[in-house]
Amino acid sequence: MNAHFQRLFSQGKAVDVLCGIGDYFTPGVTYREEHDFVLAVGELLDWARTGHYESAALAFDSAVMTLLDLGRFENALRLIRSYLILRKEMQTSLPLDEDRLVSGCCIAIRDAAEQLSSNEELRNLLLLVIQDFPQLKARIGFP
Amino acid sequence: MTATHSGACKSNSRKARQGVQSAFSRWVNALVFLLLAIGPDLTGSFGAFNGTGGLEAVISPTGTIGAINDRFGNLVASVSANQTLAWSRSKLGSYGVLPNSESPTLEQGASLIEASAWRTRRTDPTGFINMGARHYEPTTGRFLSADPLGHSSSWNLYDFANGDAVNGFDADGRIATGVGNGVVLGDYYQPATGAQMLGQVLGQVALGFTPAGIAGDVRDATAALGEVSNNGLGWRTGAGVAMAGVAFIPGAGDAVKGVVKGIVNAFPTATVIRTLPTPAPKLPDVETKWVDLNVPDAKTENGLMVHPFSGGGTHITTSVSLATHTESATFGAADGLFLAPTRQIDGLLASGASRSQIEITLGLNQGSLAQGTLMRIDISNPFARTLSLPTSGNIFFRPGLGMTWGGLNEGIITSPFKNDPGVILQPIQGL
Repeated sequence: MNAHFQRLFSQGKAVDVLCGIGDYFTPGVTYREEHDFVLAVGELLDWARTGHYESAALAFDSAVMTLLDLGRFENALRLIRSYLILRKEMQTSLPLDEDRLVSGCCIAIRDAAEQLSSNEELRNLLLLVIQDFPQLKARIGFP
Repeated sequence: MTATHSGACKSNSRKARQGVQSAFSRWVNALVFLLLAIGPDLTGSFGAFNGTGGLEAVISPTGTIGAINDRFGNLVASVSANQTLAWSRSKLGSYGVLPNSESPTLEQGASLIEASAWRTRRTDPTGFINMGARHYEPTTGRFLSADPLGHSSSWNLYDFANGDAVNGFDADGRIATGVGNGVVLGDYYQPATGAQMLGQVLGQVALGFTPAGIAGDVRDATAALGEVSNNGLGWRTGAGVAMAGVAFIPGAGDAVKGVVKGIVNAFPTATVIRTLPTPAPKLPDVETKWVDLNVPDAKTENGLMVHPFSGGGTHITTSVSLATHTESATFGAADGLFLAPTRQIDGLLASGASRSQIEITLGLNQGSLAQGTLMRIDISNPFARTLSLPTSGNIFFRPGLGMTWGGLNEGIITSPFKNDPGVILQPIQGL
């Protein structure tokens, strides 16, 4: 575990750490221009295991909503995808309010329709997310 | 007839004199005595220890021509013996003569002041400017060769004044400093022998500057000595006094200096004509003789220093990190993929290092490689992908050394496509 991240989580900075905005930006190992969502979510799940499941779930939910509110649709998808991958990898799930998450994503997808139609990589990213997120897939009506 | 001149400055004196000596021999050989008084120092004051090596005056028995410098040492005008002010024909920008202007050379018949308009550096017939340690290419605003002092002086080795020519100065192509920040380290004129020192003083005497004249400008001499002392340059006191004396010649320096000080205030800055990109320098190819200090892993083969990346480069990541970017066509972000030499990575893995130790060695955040399968991306020929030094500080890179915090060499390449045959992605077993 990364003591720095764990300390920030305990200090109530989990949303900032997950979003990676400003001072909390941590460049990814391979994709340096992006926040290291894998590291942040991995540390969040480690923190959850120490008895902070509810807080971690709340922070994750808030982080997704924050990114969506800021118009960072792609980052929100990467955050969700990181969680979906690590959930399997680490065998740890968060008690998320999935209805709220799905609703937020649906609104964001509608708002980002133009972006999605013109950006194949973003479209593929969304497809990858919904593969592991059947609730969202059902809601947005993908076949 | 051989012209005799004496340079007076603390920096670049030798180079200035060497640079102009042959020109004087060819172009001004009618003069018996000629002296270059070198202009403003980086503290903006005149008559001190002329750090920038800016030309202050050309003095000969036929008269004195004062050079008017701005704060960068640009020669914006000259004052002849009859007090006539002649503005330079060259329009000067931060990186050189402006495109709609001209940069006459001595070979074209220009005067020394005209030919040395930009920062008192003479333009060669080739169009390049001899800065002293290196040639400068004013069109691109970069040097033609790497900084001989390496990355401790310039991060990308080729830029001018660390990419900030508006606020910076580079006296001879080796160490950039901010204008007004004091003396730069350079090739300071330092007589090697007592005979040379004596020759300096005798030269001054021959030119009519008696010891009384030298001592006459006590302020200047004191300032000179103060700078010697403050900068700890190991100058000899005698040399400092001698040069201080030479620099402040009665009737030349003093007359011009008053004009100059006023003019300096009228030309506070150079014109910004463009913003130059500062791309990372491309690392030399395998065949290049590599003698940089930053290559501890280099070894000699057949008389050539072998580049650490000659065996390829490797990027370490995890399957989870890659899985979050399955949709991406490339490995690595738009700004490139970081690599360490493959043989260094092989050595690291063979040493039995744990994931945490690999993170530390690569300068990654703790936990970055914790999840998923550890993966390696091998690039057989990183030179074909513009292998460069990282340009800015980041968590991977130890600025100024081109190395990770763990001591591995580090380079960055343009992001390779995943389906590129020269790119091999494979899991790292046992970790």
